[in-house]
Amino acid sequence: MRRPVRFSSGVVLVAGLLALWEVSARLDWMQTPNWPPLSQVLAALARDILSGELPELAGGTLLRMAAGLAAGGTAGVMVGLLFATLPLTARLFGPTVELIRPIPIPAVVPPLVLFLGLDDAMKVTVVALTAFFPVLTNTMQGIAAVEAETLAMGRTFGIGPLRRALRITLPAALPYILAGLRVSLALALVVAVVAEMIAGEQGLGHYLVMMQFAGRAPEIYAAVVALALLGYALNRGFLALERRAIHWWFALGRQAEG
Amino acid sequence: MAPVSRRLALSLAALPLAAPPLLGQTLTRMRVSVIPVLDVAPLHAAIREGYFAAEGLEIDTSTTTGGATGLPGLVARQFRVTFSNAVSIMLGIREGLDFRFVSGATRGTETPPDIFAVLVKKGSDIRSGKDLEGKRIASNTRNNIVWLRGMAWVEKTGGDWRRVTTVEVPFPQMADALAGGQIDAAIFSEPFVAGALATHGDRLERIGWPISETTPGGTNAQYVAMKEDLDANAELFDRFARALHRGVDWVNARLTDPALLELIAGFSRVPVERLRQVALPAYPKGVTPAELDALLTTMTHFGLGGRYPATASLIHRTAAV
Amino acid sequence: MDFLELDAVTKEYPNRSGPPARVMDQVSLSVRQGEFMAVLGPSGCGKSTLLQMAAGLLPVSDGTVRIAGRRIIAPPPEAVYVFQQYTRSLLPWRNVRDNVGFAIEHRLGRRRAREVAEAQLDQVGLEGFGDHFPWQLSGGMQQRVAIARALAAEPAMLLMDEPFSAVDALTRLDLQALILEIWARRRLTVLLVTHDVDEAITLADRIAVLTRRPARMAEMVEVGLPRPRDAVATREAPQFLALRRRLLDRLLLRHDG
Repeated sequence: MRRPVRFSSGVVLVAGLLALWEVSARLDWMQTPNWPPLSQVLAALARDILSGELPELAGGTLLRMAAGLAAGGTAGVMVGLLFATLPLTARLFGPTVELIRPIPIPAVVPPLVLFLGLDDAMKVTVVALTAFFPVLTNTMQGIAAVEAETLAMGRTFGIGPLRRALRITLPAALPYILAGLRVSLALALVVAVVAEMIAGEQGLGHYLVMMQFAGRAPEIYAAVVALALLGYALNRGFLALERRAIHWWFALGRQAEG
Repeated sequence: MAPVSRRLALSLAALPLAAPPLLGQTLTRMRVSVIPVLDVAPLHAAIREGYFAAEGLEIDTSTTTGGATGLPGLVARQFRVTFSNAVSIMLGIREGLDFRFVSGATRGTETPPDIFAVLVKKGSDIRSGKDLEGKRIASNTRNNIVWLRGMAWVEKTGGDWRRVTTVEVPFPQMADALAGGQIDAAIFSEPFVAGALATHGDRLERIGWPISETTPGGTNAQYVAMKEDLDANAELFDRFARALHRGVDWVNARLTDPALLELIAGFSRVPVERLRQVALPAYPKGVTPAELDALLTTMTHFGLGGRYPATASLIHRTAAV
Repeated sequence: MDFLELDAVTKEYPNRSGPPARVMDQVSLSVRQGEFMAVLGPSGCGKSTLLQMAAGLLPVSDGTVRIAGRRIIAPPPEAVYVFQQYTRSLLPWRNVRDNVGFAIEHRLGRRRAREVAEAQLDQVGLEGFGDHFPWQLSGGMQQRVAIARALAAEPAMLLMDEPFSAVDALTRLDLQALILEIWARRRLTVLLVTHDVDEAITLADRIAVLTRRPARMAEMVEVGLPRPRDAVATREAPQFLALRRRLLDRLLLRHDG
């Protein structure tokens, strides 16, 4: 009985904030035309969704995001596996990775533009770079957390190193990898949009800056609302997938809780 | 009506030149860096009217609102042509980058209304550059044409530009920053002048026209390409400029025609009703050594001097009209 | 015939400051084919280390390990190790059937492995539990899954590391009975490490007693209780009680000496 109550009180808060938005804009509390009423924003949103413009742009953004996420995530898992199974590689490449990690992503966009241009290649790379690090870190953590007994079990049955990596290490580390991927997912959408805002004429990011340049506040917020909804839906979808993929992990967690 | 007959005449004149050799040929793709402002109306006109296609060109515009990637992108061969303000172009040339002017884009008009305006909060006691000393004035970027014209206005109206603090504020945020008191004045360019006055008209007022009060008809922005590319593909750029200049004619024939505002609304997404309040620039086809020399004099005066090549050498044949 | 031979096996771990730490010193023992041997020793004396070296899971520092006459440097196909912590050795993302099949699917393929797994589950009293996940079962049942998995590989020898220490006393008796039954039926060779004296006497033919660290062979005890044994009734035999007294004295005395 507690869950539905918490859920509805959260909905009430969101509804309250939205109402506050509408009222504050109608009464011009912020004293700026750049704070349009929610109703105007939703009208702009509905219009540009129905015209097909926003769905097309959002589709492009999501596609670039997904491609970057897949590339960066796969690379993160593979490099993590490599670092964990061959410590020499970790000693060799670890410092390089640690040097690249703290660079703010918007800062790598201009140099990347020089090599990869303004279109998909650059944006997907930027997203992949963003997605790579959380997955790498979590993969390495997950691999470190695999019990020695579990791996020894594989050895005692004469299972080779590759199969052990794929059938023991990887599934055992999967909960960690997915946790990293969920962090990457949230970042990936942000970074895809930022990259689109910086260069090229693609996606929701470009729509956003165009509308900002044109001084069309309702459309700006329509893009923001669309991004918020997309981000929310992506996270929920990912959680649902995660529950299916590692149901055993959640079951063990419930057992551990009592 | 004059515009219609002129357009007809122009397109008829162009037909025999362009059409026969290009029929059935695939188009050469050229990527052009632009900013979504009034200045690039002729380019979009030429695209929409098919002038580029008639020259065998397909123009792929890349809109960079910040302007930060336009010239670097040209150097990096991401673009064949970049639209940029004259000050940024000359500063790049000073740093040794081989930009050459392919075409003019815009100049200020001889008389108000300008495409630039200095705005302050209504009821503010700032009326001149003298009043701005020790105060904060916003420019979208430092060391570009907007800033240069703004500083020239400060000096022209009795102020010492060195004693005025420049703050970088993007155009879309200027009106709010001004109304909110974070800045004391702002140098706007169109269509943001009209936008600010439409939305904050009760709280903001215009106190100056930075171009017509300092340099009537002064240079503003151009299209540039890399010298190396121009040398190797001169014929391609001839076609580019020919089509672009037909777009200039199209625009100049419609300066009071709603068709122009609809064109601008289409690529800039600024609503037509706001564009009706916007002051338009002059749309030249060429670039003259005189306007560049005048610009360099002003730049040097405002701390942007240095070793520049002879301006005539920077103007490619397509802009020498 | 000796199936498993340990010859002067020594294990040392490198030490940052000073000489390497020796945990096992020149231990030699032989397990005959079909024999059930228990290794008994005080806690922390390195019994598990001994077993892991016998299984080829841990390299020896000195000495040799032979199984069926071959020197062991990697896990041999003849011997399978049964772990103390079934929660760590079972794979929580696989159901019981596929956990058992894991031992052989790399050789037989998943389909055939599942058939073998079902048969093995029947043998350990887990028929019908194939679709369950390990974490849905009790500790005793999970250790049965681990045993079924070990048997699925059809080893000649089981190396069992305190396999019943993590379950309650009744379940332990139950599992001991299961092991006795399987050992008798399949004529396996077993080396079982335990710190439970009763368990060692109940199950084993011989008991190797180790000293405290660094572990050395203290003595080899012949159990001599008749077969078949019963996990409960055997414990009441006078011979059992006498041996139990002797071994406990020995292990406890070691503390003082």
